[in-house]
Amino acid sequence: MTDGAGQQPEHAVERYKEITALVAEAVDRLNARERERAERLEEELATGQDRVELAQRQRDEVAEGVRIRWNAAKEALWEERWMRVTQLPPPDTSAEPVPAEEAIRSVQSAYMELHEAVGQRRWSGMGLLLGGWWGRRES
Amino acid sequence: MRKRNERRGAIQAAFDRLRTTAATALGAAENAVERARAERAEQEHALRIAQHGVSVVAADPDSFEGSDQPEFRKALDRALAERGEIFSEWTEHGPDRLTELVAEVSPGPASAPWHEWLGSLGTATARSPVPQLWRIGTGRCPDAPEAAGFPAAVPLLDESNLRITCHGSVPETATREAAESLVQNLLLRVLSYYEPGLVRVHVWDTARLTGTLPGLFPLTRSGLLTAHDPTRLDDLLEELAEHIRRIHTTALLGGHTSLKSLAAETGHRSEPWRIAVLFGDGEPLKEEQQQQLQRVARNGLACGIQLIVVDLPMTVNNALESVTFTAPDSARSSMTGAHLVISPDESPSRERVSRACSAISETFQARRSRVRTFDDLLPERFWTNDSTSGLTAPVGFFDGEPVRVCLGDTSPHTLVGGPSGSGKTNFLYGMLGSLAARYSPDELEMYLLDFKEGVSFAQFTPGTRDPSWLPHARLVGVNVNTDREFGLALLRFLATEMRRRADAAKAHEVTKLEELRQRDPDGRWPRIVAVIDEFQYLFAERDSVSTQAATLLEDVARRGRSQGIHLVLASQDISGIEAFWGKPAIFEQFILRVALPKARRVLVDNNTTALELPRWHAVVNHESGVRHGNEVARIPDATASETFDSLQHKLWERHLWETGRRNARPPRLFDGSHLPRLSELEDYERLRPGERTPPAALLGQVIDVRGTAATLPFGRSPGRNLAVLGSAQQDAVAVLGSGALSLARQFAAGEVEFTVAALVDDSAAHARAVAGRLRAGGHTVSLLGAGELEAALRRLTTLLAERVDSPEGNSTTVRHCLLLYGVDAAQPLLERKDPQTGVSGLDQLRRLLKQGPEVGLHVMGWWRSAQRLRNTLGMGPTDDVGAWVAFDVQGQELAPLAAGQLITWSPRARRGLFFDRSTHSHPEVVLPLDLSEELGELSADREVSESSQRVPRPRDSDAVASNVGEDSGD
Repeated sequence: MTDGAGQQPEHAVERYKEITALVAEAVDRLNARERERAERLEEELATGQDRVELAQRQRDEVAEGVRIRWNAAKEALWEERWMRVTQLPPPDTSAEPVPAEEAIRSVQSAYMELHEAVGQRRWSGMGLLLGGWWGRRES
Repeated sequence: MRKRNERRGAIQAAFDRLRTTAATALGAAENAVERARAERAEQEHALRIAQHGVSVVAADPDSFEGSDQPEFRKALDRALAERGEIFSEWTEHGPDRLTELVAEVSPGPASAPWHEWLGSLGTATARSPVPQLWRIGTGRCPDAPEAAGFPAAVPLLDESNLRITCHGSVPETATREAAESLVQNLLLRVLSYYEPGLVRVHVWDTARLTGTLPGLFPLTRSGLLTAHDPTRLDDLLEELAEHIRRIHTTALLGGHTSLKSLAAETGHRSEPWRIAVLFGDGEPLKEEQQQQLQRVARNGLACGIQLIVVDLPMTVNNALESVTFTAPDSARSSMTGAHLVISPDESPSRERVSRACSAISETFQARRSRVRTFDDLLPERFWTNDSTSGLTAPVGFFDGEPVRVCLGDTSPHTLVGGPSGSGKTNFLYGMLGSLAARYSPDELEMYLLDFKEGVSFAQFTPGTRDPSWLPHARLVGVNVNTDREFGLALLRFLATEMRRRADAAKAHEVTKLEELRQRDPDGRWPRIVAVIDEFQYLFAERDSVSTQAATLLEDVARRGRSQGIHLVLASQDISGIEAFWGKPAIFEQFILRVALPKARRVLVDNNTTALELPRWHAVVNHESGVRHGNEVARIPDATASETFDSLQHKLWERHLWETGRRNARPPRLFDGSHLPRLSELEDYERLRPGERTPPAALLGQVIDVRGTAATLPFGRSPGRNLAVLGSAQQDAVAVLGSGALSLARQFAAGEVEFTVAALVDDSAAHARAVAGRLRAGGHTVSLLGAGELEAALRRLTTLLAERVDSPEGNSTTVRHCLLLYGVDAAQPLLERKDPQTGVSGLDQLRRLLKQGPEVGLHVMGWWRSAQRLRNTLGMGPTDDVGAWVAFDVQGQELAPLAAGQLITWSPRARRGLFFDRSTHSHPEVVLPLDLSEELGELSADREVSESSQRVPRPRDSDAVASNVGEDSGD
């Protein structure tokens, strides 16, 4: 580099290309990053389907458990003509996703309550079974 | 009742709770599935994005499957954020740093938006720093859209060539137009940065002659832009190559490899920048053209020659940056790399461009038509050029561009023609001045001869008012009207020098001067330029001088070229030189022809350009006068005061300073109108007793390059007497006088005696003066008149007899010299026989002549005609007088005195013919000497000498006393 007064520093072309090279470097880094991520994701996705299936199974379990109890409750409440028994409620989409066990537990406890309130003699076999079996489990 | 209500309440509550929890459980389970699915979907999108590359996806997201899904959006955003982070350094710093850099190295029009400068004239000069980058548009990084744009720029002048490619992109026409716009804008920047004239543009388009870069068209008017014929690419490439060659052998010597480094050191650029824009069609050129183009690309930058090629394939083996268009508004460049995109700057309207170019063109035109002066021919620094491969210098201007003459291997010799008054002398002054300013005296020597009455070249020698001389001039001949021998002597000298150089070359095992200089860098081998003005006079007579001159001229013309000897022959009229008949090739070597207005025969017959030339112009033609080699030049005034004389003074002072005042020698001057002074003859000054054996009398000056004295040895052998013949008294007595005085200096006092007889009244004063001078030198002199002659002869014959009989030999006796002024005047006297002895004075004289020299008695006599000498000698052979100098005598009369040789001689003012039968094979022309200084001013002699020292009228001349001003066309 010269430093005479009024003289321009030299090698402007090189300096220019140095700066624009930042982009090429960034592109390389980006490409490397993306390659890495793709590899990782490929691996994960290969094993990932299970999770969806598991969630689906659990959902089915929960739906089954809810249906059974609901039907039992409907039957038990058949005699109570003063009650209006609705259909199975739609899923509450605002609900936080929780594990199936937890979901079933709260349903069961509500069911027990109802069971309690209605009294034993109204319950049919399945209802008895459910109440008893669950009750036994709980205690 | 209450129990029942309680029970009902409990049941209802429980049922409600069951319902809520059921809904919650179902919802939660559903959401869990949803979430798992969404996660997976996002991963899938993320994988796809990573595989294609976020930039590709972001550019056209809709084209991707599932792009409407929110997971896609999320994955994309995440990837974009990461990209933004990777590019953050660029985004934060890149564009700013580039903007700063460009602002720093590209001031003014080099990078500013066009509305800030278009239309104004450039102010940068060759001293201004050259912008290292020139803006072409705005760059941006598609991968970092949040980053700002930055100035896209390319290097150009002195740095790099530029290649633009648009062939193959779609749509082709629009892209090609964009490329043209880019080129136009770049050129506008350069043209508006520098002062008009510092940049020249050449355009070649394989498809068309006009219509390319139409906005720049106004520049063609002033020659700033030249459009080349599509079929003549070779001419353009050759022109560029020629510039490169020329610049390498002139400006780029002394270690500089580029005009850039030269300008850095000297602050001066002698050449404009030349930008050649070539538009191709994507196809490569012919093999030779391609190679020539590559050569220009490789070597041009150092010489300020720049290429911009569009759609022409080029190998990148030199400094080359490229711009590749992918679409009309989008390009990539080697400056920015593959990942940055450039949008070229918008062009100003065609009207504004044209207007700006008109302004530039007109300003340049005005500047260029300013009358060029002699000073414009001169370089900024003197003596920086090297003559190893030739001599080049501008002699005039055409449209502001210098027109040069080249002397070298390809054009060794020059013919300059033009009638009197046409400016021939002015042209020669300009040429010689231009050469002398560029090449030092060690690189160039000049020998100048003027056959006219004029004193053209006297300027180059020291004078009374101006003591300076031209350091390159080694020999100057003026007033060489009738002394054609001098022209011959010059040619002989050149031939000898030619042989000397050829021998030296052979000793170094080479053949040419150029090679010799490379092998012997410490040796001094300047190129020689020999100028003979009105050379046709050399061949004016049908005699041996013409024949010899023609032979020598042919020899030097043919062989001088490889030994660095260059002839410049100037003439009013070169037709009808008889001596050249039978030698048609003599002018073959005169490839450079310069024709002044109305010159005939210098150019080829059908090349009549010279006939229509206005004053102050010349045709310079390096093609033996063929029309297509014509270059018309306006020749500046080189003879007005303060032009050449100032230059000469500067060069002279520098020469004195470099060589030392004592070592610097002025040129030898031969002035045909003046007689040389005895006192200034080198040969005379050197005379001392014993200097020569045998002692020799100096009778005059030979017409040669060195200025040698005509000498007559006076040994002790028969015939050593001198006769001066003719009635030209002043010349005759000058010979006697110089002979006597020069002899006297070679003897100590007492070793020689003189008897001086003044037998013709008019010569008495001279004889007295000579006698006085001899006495002042300590010698014994007897001065007598006609009455005492007999007695003196008697005395001398007695002395003679004594010496002849003397036994001890003759080698040590005192010499005696008898000086007879006008012997024939005393003839009647001498014929008288003594009544007693029967011997006449004539007998005694004859005896002296016959036997005297052997015993140291010599006679130097003046007879006023050849016949009268014969009368004195009588019937016998004439060899008792072994040497004579004849003035106004006819040649045939001298034949008997020269062993019957055919002698062509007629009276010539102030010239004699000298013959010494013991040394000459044929007589030679001599100049009698001017003795006025040696003898002191004698009033009678002075009147006589002044009246006949005036310039003699040469034959066939109707010119009145010439004047340099006449030749400059005023």
